[in-house]
Amino acid sequence: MDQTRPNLVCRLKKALYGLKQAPRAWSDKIGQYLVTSGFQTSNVDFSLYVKKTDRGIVVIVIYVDDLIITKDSYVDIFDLKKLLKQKFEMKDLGELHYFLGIEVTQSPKGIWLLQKQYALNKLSEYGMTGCKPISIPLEQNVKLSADVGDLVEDTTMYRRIVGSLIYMTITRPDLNYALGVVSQFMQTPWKPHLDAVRRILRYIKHTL
Amino acid sequence: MVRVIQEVEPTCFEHVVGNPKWDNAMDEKMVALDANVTWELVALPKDKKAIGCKWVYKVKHNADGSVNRYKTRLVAKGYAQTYGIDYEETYSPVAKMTTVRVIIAIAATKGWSLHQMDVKNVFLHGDLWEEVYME
Repeated sequence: MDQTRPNLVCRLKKALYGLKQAPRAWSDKIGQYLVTSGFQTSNVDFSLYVKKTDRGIVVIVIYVDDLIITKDSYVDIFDLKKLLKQKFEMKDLGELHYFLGIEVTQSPKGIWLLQKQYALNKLSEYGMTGCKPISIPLEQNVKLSADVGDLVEDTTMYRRIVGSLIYMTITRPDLNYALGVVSQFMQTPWKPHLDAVRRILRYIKHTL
Repeated sequence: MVRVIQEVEPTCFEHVVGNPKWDNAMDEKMVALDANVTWELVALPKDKKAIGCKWVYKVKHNADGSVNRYKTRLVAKGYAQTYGIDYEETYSPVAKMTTVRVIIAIAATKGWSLHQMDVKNVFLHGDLWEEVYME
């Protein structure tokens, strides 16, 4: 790197993108900081930190570079946010609106979770934007056995679509049954199975 | 109308060197890495190997298609690392989806507000305990 001293190499002191241990080094760093600030790590999920104070509790969920913070209304997290901003170049995005493809709307009545944009993007990705909507996700009384019709040519695509649909069950429990059925054929999908998957996409179009 | 012609993103240092836009971006990055004390220059010990690195380039666009900024990132070729020598444990701080949902559900029932923050250059913050050399 330094042309004037070609014999020297860089001994890394800090992590760099691409290093195997970079995510772990980050996790350790933020974890240690939060623990010294009075947070406790959860035994159930190591990305969950909880701090109990006499005014109430503060909860932090870490998803690599995204943090969700929630707290009792009596606790003030202004100072916490300020410290995090200084120490880790964090950006305060204010109230939670969008996280991992989930749209979040907070109101006095409750919290709404939506994956509408995600669903629209997926319909477009799979060429189903103009498909005919249908009101039931699975054909009734249909027997999807493992060897009828022709094999699906692009099995990777089948798995990819089913994977995206499974991600949508975060906010869409109504997809669960139909997905349970089509997931059984991930290994060797046949044409009728792909038709069933397309039907789920048409059902999603109907419900958007 | 949207602008459909986009600048081609270069794939290697040789393609961008001498181009002021990218040179500036890389200079800024080097200053930031220096300020962060990312590394110290040392002679490579005889029994150690140094891993390579490369620049990656990304053109960030605004919603109207105009160029927002020229983003550069220096990445280490981590695939050349050997377990037990220049790295030990690996882990990724990824919350389970059920955790996220439980927290949102608790917030909803208790009437708590949810806030969000994100970290810039997230993987540059960690300290390295292992001996890793890069050329």
